[in-house]
Amino acid sequence: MTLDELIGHSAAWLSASGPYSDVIISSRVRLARNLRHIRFSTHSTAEEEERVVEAVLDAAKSSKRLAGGTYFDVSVMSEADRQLLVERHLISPALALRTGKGGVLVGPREQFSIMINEEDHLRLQALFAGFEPEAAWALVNELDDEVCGDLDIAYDEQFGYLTACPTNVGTGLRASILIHLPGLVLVQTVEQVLRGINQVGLTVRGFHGEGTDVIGSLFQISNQVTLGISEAAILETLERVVRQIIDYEYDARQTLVRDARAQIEDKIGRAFGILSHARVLSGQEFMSLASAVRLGVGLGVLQKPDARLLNELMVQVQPSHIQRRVGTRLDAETRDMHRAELVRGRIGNGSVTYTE
Amino acid sequence: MVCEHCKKNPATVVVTTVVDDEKTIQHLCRDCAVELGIDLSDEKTPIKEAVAVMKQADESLHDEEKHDIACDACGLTYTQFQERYRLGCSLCYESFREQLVPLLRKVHGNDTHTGKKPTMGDAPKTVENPEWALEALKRRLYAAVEREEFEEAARLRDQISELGAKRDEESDQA
Repeated sequence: MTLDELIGHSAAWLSASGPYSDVIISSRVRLARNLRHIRFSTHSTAEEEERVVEAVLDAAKSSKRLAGGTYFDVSVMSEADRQLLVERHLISPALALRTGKGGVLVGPREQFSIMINEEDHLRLQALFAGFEPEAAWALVNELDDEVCGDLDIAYDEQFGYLTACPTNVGTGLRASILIHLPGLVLVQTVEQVLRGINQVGLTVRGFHGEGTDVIGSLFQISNQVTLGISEAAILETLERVVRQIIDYEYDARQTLVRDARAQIEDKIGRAFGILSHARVLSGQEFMSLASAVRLGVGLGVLQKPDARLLNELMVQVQPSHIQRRVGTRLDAETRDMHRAELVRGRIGNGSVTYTE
Repeated sequence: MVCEHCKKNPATVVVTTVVDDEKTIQHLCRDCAVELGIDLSDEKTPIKEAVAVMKQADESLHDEEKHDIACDACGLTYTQFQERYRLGCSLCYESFREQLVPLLRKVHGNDTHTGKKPTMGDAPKTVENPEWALEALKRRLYAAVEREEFEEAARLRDQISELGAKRDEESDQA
């Protein structure tokens, strides 16, 4: 599979299917693993990096799941191509910035992937549409057995799986839920609802992960604690808390429809109007308008576009994807024009239906 | 600045008073301060401050000495770890176990893993990195010499030359 083929298809996690897909975009579980007797990728030599890539690719050959997958060698990729992979959530910004040997093994429909030589030798991830943390864990666990079963993995009886950063040691597992909370943002209780979750070992981040801002009312909720709590228990806590947040979000949406129906429908309708007709559209503006339109779809105020289209656009309107489409590097202003054109083409011919 | 009270002598004492959240600052000379009944016993003089700073620096120096141990395998020191918060290799967890336990308790509220273990069915065990083994032996040799444990040092010296010879042999064959 070439990079063009990869981006020509839509990733499975964008399908807007699965449980609670009106609130939850995706569920991701990743595992950090390292090989014994080789320095972590943050400290390794070029020769060691090479050895890690070789060992992992060799082990991956025997994986049935990875049979239809492709390895993208990030070290020989251009800056723009690396950014494409970041925008698709296949590699982290950190791996994109690395100068040494490293890359990513991508499974069919981008449902799972293995980053090689990020800060840990292996970062295995599974990504599902909707509220499916259990399914994502089951898949990444299998992948771990298949690939790491043939490798000498760094493990300590006391500390568990050993990782470059002590915040990942133990299970090496990070589960995160990408959740859309426009209701809670609009009724201004989102902070209150999310405030307490640190106490149960969870944390909230922005759309693009650690240290990023919240855009388009999208939040990532994930576990912070990885040591002393089993994989099953981590997922259970995350699921329990996210279920509560989903309930709060539904309540907030009901409140909005009950107390401010006209204003909410107006906001949704205007957002849809701008997305359908704008000639210049920044990424930030797209995200916040798409958030309102997504809410409209969820409330049944709008029947088109569906959430799947919004998800696909969320990936396709990012800078590197737009430049790839157009075939050349663009300045921000020109990019905003191309973004508007792309969105107009996909959304503009929809029709609005208001529910009574 | 001259003393706000006598308006003659240079002001050397700064008096801060807080009354009902209202902060007032007075610049006085020493004589006037005493005259106004201001207690100068916890006065901050440059000398006193300098001594305090030196004391602190001395303590932190001792702290560093205590922590600056290196990983037997990759050579990363604990101070280097603290700078970037990234460990050098899996054996760092062995070398810094004592220091890491309290840190992990703080981060995770726990220091012992529960959950999945590697399956390691018929996985080929990777051999220990020969370069590291050599480095670790050398470090132990230096330490032994410093402690004047010459029997131990001789034993380590033999191990090093043995390992070195083995490595040369292997590279000849390769």
